[in-house]
Amino acid sequence: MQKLIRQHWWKALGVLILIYVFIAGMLIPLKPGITLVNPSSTRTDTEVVVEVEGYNTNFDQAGESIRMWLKMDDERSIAAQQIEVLGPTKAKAAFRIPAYLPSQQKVQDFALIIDNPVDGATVRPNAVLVTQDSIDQELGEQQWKNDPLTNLHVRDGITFPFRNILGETIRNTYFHVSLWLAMMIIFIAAVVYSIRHLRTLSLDYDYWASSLTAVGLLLGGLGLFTGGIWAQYTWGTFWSWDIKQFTTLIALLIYLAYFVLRRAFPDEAQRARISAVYNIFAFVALIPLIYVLPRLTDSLHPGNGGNPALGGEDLDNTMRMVFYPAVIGWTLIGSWIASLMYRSNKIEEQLMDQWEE
Amino acid sequence: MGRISPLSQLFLTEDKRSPEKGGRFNKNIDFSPVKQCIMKPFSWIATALFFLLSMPMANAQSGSTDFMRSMGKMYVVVAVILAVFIGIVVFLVYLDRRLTKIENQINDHG
Repeated sequence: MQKLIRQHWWKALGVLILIYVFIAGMLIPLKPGITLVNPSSTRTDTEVVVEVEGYNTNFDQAGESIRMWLKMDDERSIAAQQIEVLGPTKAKAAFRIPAYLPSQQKVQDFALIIDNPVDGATVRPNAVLVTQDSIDQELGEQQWKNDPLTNLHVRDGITFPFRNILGETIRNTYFHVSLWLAMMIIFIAAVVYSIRHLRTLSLDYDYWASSLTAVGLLLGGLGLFTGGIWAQYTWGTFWSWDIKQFTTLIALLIYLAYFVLRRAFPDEAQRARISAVYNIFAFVALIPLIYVLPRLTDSLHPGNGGNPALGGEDLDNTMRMVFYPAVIGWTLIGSWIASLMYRSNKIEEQLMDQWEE
Repeated sequence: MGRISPLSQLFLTEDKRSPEKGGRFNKNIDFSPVKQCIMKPFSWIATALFFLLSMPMANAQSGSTDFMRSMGKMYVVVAVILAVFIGIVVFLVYLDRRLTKIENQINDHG
């Protein structure tokens, strides 16, 4: 460790990885998406003209080859009868809604699917709600089989997924979510050094533990703050007392108390031992607060309240190629800052020893 | 100050935080070291936090949310990256001060 903190390769590696994360994370475009469908509700047995607004789409390049469907599931869908392209992100589609729906429900939601050779196929779930007066599922199923979804295109090139509400902010996965994972790694390292201190009573390990905890707290605080900014524009408010916001705030306050505790002891050996024990307890509290409690109730965060975490459309394989390097990058930079703090602690100790002699 | 009732005397001696408002009882107390003690370490952090906090709030309050939400909310990502950057800089400033303190101690010892 003494050799490693004087070497530069891992610090340079951290910087290079983060530069890659910034460039790839900001420049790779999002998949085309549909941001607006108007009107979003209609009745059976009508002719409806739907106004569509796309994001990152090229309707004008696709021209005549553009196709649209209203779809309930893989077997029940109707195609647009007429499509008018108004611009790269604007189009109008006329649908003839049949007299009956292929459903027992009075109101059924349909997804809108747009397909063209340039953008590939894009979906907006729950795009149009259709209300029916009388229910006849068999007739409805016959009427809704007029044009199956075949020969769908796939867009070429590397893209990030498009999610409604999130839009471009899906890139915050690399600058908010990765901070939390890096914080976890740093806190684990701090606990390891606390245990090593208790086994050896060497003050070196105490300096490592306190430096790593300080950096972990920095990453956690930034995670909380960046999460607030993100929440402002996706959930509506900076702080909504979401269960995960709440429990991580408590966890960070427990870690903040670690430094309050340290200040209370003038004697170095005593301070080191008690804060090492406290650090272990803080870590034991951190795990249920961050990983267990938020999963037990409803939460706005993905991965809690029954939602799948870190998977599906929220983190596809393209995003993983940026996300995991981001975690490593933040961890390396965090370790670098921690090593600087450790060295300043060490110098201070050596000077004090010299002056006391 | 003219005549002071016993009650306000009590108040004046208690109110140590506002020497300019107080009467003869705390005229001679110099509060500048206290102020420096509190203000110095936090002034950097406080200013940085103020600017960070006021940025999204100003947008939300004035109703001109179009800027942050334009381009598919791209500027939210920019704000998040800026926040992380400023956070790391604030931490570096703290580290810088600590090293300055050690350097000053070295100078004091000759």
